Amino acid sequence: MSGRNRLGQESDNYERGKNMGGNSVVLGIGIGSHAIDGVLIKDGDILSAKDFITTDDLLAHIENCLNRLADGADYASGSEMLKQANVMNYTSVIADSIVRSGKGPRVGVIATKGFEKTLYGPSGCVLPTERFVPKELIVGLAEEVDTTGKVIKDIDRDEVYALAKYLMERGAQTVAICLKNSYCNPVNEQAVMTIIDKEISKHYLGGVVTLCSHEVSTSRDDFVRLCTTVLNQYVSRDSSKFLKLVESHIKDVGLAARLRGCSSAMGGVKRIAKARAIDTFASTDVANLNGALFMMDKVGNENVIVVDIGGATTSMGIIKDGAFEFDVKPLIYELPIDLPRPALKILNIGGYSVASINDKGSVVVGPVSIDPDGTEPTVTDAKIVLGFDLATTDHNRNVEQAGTVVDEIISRKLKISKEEAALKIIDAFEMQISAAIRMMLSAKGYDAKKFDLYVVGGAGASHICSLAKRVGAKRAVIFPFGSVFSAFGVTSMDIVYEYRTPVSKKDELDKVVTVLKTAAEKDLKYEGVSEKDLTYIIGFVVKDGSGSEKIVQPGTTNLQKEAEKISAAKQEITAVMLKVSASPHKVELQKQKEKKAAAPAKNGKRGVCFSGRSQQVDVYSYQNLNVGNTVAGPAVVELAGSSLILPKGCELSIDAYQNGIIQQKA
Amino acid sequence: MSHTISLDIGGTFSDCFVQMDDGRMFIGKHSTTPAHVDTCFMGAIEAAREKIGISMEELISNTSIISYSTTMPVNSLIQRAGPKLGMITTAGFEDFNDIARGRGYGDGLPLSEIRLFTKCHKPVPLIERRLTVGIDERIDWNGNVVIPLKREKVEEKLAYLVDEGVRGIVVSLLNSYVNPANERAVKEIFLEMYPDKFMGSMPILLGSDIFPVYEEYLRTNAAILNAYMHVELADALHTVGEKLRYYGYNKPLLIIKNIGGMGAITRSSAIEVYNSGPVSGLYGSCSVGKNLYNQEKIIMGDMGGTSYDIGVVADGDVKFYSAFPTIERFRVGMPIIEVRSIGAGGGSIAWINKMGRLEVGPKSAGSTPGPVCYNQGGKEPTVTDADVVLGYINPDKFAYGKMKLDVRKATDVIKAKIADPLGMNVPEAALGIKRVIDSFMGTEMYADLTLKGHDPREFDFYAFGGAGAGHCCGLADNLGCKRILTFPFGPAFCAFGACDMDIVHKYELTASYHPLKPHTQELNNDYETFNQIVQGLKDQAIIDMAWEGLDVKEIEFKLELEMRYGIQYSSTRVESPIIFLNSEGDVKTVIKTFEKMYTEMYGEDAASPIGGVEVVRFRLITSKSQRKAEFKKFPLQHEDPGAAKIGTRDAYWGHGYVPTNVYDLDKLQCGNVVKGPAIIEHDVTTYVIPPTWQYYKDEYMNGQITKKA
Repeated sequence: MSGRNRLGQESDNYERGKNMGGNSVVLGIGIGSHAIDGVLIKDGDILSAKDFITTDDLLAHIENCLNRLADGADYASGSEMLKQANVMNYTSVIADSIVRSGKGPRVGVIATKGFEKTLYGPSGCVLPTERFVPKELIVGLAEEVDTTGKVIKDIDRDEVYALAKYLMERGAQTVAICLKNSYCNPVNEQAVMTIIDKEISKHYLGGVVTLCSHEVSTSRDDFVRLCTTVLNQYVSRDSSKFLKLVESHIKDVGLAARLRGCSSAMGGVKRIAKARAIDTFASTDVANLNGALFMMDKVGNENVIVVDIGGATTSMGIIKDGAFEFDVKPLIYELPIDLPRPALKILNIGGYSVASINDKGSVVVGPVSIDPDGTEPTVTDAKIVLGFDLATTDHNRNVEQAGTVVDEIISRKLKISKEEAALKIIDAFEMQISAAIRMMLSAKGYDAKKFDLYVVGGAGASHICSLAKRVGAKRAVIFPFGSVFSAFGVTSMDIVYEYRTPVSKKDELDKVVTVLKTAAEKDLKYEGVSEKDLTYIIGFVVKDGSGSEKIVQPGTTNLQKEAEKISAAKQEITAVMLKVSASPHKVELQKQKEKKAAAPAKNGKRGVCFSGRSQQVDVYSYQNLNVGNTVAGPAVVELAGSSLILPKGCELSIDAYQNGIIQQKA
Repeated sequence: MSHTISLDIGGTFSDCFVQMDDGRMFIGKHSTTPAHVDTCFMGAIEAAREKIGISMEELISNTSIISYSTTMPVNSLIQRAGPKLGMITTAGFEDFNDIARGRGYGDGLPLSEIRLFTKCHKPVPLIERRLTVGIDERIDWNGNVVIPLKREKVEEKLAYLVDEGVRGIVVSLLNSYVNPANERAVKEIFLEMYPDKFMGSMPILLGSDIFPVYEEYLRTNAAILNAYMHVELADALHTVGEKLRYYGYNKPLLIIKNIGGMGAITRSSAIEVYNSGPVSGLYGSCSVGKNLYNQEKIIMGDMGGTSYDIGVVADGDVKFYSAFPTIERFRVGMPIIEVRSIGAGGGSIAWINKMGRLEVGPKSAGSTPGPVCYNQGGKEPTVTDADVVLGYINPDKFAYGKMKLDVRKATDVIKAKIADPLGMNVPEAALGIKRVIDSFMGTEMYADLTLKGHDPREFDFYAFGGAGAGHCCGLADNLGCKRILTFPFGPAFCAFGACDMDIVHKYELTASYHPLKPHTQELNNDYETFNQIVQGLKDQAIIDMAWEGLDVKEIEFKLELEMRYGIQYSSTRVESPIIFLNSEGDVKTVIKTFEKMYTEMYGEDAASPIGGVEVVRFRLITSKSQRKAEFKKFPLQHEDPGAAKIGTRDAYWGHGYVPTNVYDLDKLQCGNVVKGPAIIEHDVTTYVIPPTWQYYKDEYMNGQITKKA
């Protein structure tokens, strides 16, 4: 059980640290757009591995990553490791990839007649759903349910037939049934679905998958409910296909335990089968936040900004007073989605974002990101030119090639040196990120000086000092497994299920909660969790006078009384929410004793360009740093696959958990 | 404007047939791309479009019907690369799919392998044993629920399968054909647990929905195969649909069914598409024979690159269902029009067996790598290589002239692998290859007719497929027929047949009804039971035909009954002249129809009315006639084909290479007679007319090949 954070010596492809209690074997996998990240926590050791995605065979890359972990932990094979794993969780960016590729299925929409053009949104605006639903696949059905749930007009079976036929003959592969006011009485939506599902049978080749909006969302806002349903249907088919393939493959290779995926909704993991595709949006970012939440207790600050710099995106979130901030209705690809999840800001820029010169002659970065071996300069190329990153063998990019693309596309046009061009690229990149962080903080009225900055992700370490300075954070923190942080974060996530049902009468609250609990018990049973291990949290979705919604947790078990209090405050309970969670395993880190060691051994020197001029600085290997060591800038500290750039005035110290705390020297 | 386009995706080539609204007919061919059906689908249309000379938009947006058929099972089935499936069955019956049936060893294998029965292996099931789970339930033979479902247990089994990562679940419970309640309950539980909003949602297919008949193994196989082929085929057809829509086609894509006929993809199952290509060819033969030549006895032979398909039209109709319908290696029991496929085609590989004898096939070089002369990496001598060496195929004009054939490589491979080992010269060896394959195909056709009680001399032989016109005379010598018919669209004849089909749907149910009661020999006066079953099938049909946009008044209903004498095991298919029973006379008519059919097949002495007469299966077939291909009649010209002669080429006919006249098929005029030896060239096929045969282009521009006087 004793543990000390140490990085492994055996391979560049994984890192090692001893730090956890228990004798369980826990695996975490992060399926990213450019790499597969892996973390193994076994008998007090944390190992991490990364496999860059260089082919279309993602399953092979996942297997490679698992094999590297197994190799580092002295298992005979990846299969052997999987057989012994007690827990395996993953995060995935598959839903985002589907949206970005534009290769989702043809989604048809059946809306209430009269709303085909606006889809319940503001009239005269360009519908944000256009990206997901071709105009010719939106049809109107004559029906009406009023806001009290009374059916004013029943559906006509023949009309449903005609609409379904129209949609299917035009190639709709999935149909979102989104009728007005279905949140308070879904009878018409259900009737449409029954006709399409049962009479227009699914075993036929041209069959469609249907989904009613009331099943996905309890929102009273018809537009929100529709957007939520449409987006889910757009990503569901291919997400499901891919994740089932992953599950099937990993099971076939040897996993005996359940495979659980991170669900960004409420932040937790669950069986793939019980997750909605829409829940996987930003699951990697939510896992990062969870990992940060876990680590902040050790680092010692309750306020943290978490930034994940990946290949194509950079995401950020805030933890204040030891808790996430929740976003009840986040915008995902410009659609308002009924998906309460930790508040996140996601930028379409990352390490492989393309740098270019705009009309005004300024260097800009993104939003396009490319193959890292492409012919356009990227942020990573700029870092190679500046000596921030070493050219890796993963992408066959050497210093000369990186210099050539930066020179050809940027520096020649601006008539500056390639180092100056590279600095401009980094500046443009970090400027966007720091501006977004400042905006997030200022929107909440928070003072950056009270926050630590955690920068994770493969491209994070080289930017952390600069970003901390630009934002004005109190401290910056890096982690030995920071490049695979989401894979670490997902290992410590609880199993979480969330249920919601709309309510119109206060005296039904207890009955509703009982029904939700029964459903929860059944779902959690198939998670292998017994009832006694479950934690229930009841919440009310409350709408205030301005129409905005928030989740309120009742202070007592007397729900009627709590509801009356809310009514007295002229607010309305629109839905009851039940969050059920279980923690089948605990990951514990243990402090290590400070060593009275000499100053850390240097690992040579390297040329780094801090401000237009290259200078030779000391290089350290993070894996050789011990608790209590400090490194003063200017210096470079090499981690697996990335480098921490410590400018002059910054100092890195290794804490008892072998995290790197970076502060401005007094 | 309303053109029709039909596609037939074969194992080697994909064929397109276009009939323009003015009656002109065009064909196009493209190599089959099994992993990307849309590529060969659109490629074949593009090849036809080039001939027509209009844009894709102009062609496709002005087309009223586009239909699709295929010769091959979907790629995933061949490669066992289909989706991972789970199965729920009655507890105690989990192994029946692995055990299969006694003759499961031989199902789907060529005769040459079945003969070595002890060396045959049972097919590898499409669902792993660990993914087949049993649930406690039982419905008896009469449909009574003896053991009801235990919901909790069902939930556990479903959760297990879902967590194993299956992508589809087949539910096949004992006796579900008579009462599907438990199968439906399993589906309901699944949909409650994993509704469409969750990623655990997946297709759950019931045996009682796909093929609601008795015989568990066959019913289950049908459901499994449907699930296995569904995903790939549905995805492929959606992709094809997208491409067609891009060019302005806004009508439903129709698929050809192996029962004969076509239907919208939104009303058709994957399993119905299997082997629909050759079925189209058979219906096309029937139509041409009936409408142009008043010929009611036809044997068709479709020679492609991989296989040779044989079908029979008797009494002017397509009468035969396959006796042992098998998909890949799985018996299914559902009615599939009988078209027998043997391993013989242009790509068939020639080899020398252990006895030192020349054999051809059943292995094929397919389209990739293809014959050696394709120069695509093929290493084994094939029938096409032999045809090239013999001088029959013009190496510069193969496949629209787009593929240059390498005569030298074909010669070398035949020399090295056949001629030298057998001590022959190369042309002798090449002719040997041709004779072996022709003899094999001809003998198989002869057997097919004679075993059905027909005299081959009374039959016309319709030869088509890319390699059909090149080999028809050789195999006709073995078949014994007197006249061969070939068609200008022969290389895409199955696609032509697909264009000539009606909208057809089939509904089937197993139920026992005794028109003639056993022992008492009383006529059954319970018409209601019979009529209710038929009405139930009719109600389903009306829904589907309405979906096709058809009025019930336009629909033709045909009732087929599987009937037998009491205590018999096997049944006989009877086309009932009556749909509903309303009188004693109706009952007698049904019985008489059965007796007539039975005695025709087995002789009068075989009849056994003492045991009563039983209907064991009801099958309602609905159809709506569609526009048929229209053949123009052209005036006959003189016999001399001289104007169509495009040169001479050295060809080998058995006694050294001799200069042989070569004609252009398109330049031949109706009435021209080409006497053998001769070669007639076309863009995508070559007619080989041996010295003892002659070709006559008739008034429909079809070729009639007969023995010289």
